[in-house]
Amino acid sequence: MAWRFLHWACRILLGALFLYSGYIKIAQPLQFSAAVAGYQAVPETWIWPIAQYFPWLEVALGIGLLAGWKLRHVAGAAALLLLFFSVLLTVTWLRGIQANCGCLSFDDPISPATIARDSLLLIPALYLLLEGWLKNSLAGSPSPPPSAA
Amino acid sequence: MCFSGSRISIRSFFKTRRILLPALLLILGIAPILPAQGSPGRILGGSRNSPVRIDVFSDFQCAACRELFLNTIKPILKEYSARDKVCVVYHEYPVAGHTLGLAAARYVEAAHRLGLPRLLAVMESIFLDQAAWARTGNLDASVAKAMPPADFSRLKQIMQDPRIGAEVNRHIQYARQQKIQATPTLIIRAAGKEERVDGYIPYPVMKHFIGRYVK
Repeated sequence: MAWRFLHWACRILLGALFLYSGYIKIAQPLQFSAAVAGYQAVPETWIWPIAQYFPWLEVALGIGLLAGWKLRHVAGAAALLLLFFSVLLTVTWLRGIQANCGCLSFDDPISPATIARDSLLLIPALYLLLEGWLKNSLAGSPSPPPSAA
Repeated sequence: MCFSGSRISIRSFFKTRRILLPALLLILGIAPILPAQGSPGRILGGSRNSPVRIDVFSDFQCAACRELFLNTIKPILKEYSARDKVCVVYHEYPVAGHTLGLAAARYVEAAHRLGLPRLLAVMESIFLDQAAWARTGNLDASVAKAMPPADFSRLKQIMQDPRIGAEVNRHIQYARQQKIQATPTLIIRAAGKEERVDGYIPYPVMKHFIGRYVK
């Protein structure tokens, strides 16, 4: 029962966050472009394509997590994306760039708090990715390492 | 169009629609959002009839405002405003503590009275020399090189007019009314939609965005 609750809590939390995050970026493409430009990490000509297509990836991940279709693949992709965000935020902060996170709102300057928040979101994503292996390990039965398939 | 059994003629139908349709659009919240008439702001290019309108709230002492003007707004003025496709309106909003930004805004307000070419030249010169005058406080040098000496003398006379300071204050009050939190802030209106953007937007992004509404 506890496993089931944890499973659904992780899916709903991450799925809702990805959906919300994608939605605000789709609704404000120019504001999201300004946030991407603020990172000073990509050439200016890449910013508009990123602002156009990236939010749809987040929406797709959100739907995938909530629907549960190919869940381990989707959770893996979400974990990779969150890892990428955490590294990007950390590098930008260490470079001393005062940029807007643009993660869950556009009024959110990059700070150790935003880095910690995005890093903590890795936990439910990793849980969903490694759930089967984790359950078997805790139950004490030998189990092969999880495969992507 | 005429409905059988109805007394509504074509003319009266369209007359009614002229009133009902905007009212319906207004209720649905999709009516064109136009800025209030008489709001302060300098039109740098384009006109009220341009399909896209960009209101920029800017501070001459802010580095991102410099980048925005030189790298984004100038190409927009050249590529789109010259063909009346984009209306660019500038509002001064020197951030509290940026005393030189406020002084620069007064120079620009005075230059506005010498005509659009002088205004643009002064804005460009002030932004280009931002690092220098921010260090020395000498704005005169930056403004003087944007115009012939006779015009500069006239500009210095115009600056004695108390209405210059009052007009700059009107810009600041308007920005506060619009709840502008930081500079640069852009309010972009096109096809009845409005988007507010805080921060620098590169020209390639604006080009793609404007391309949605302008051929």
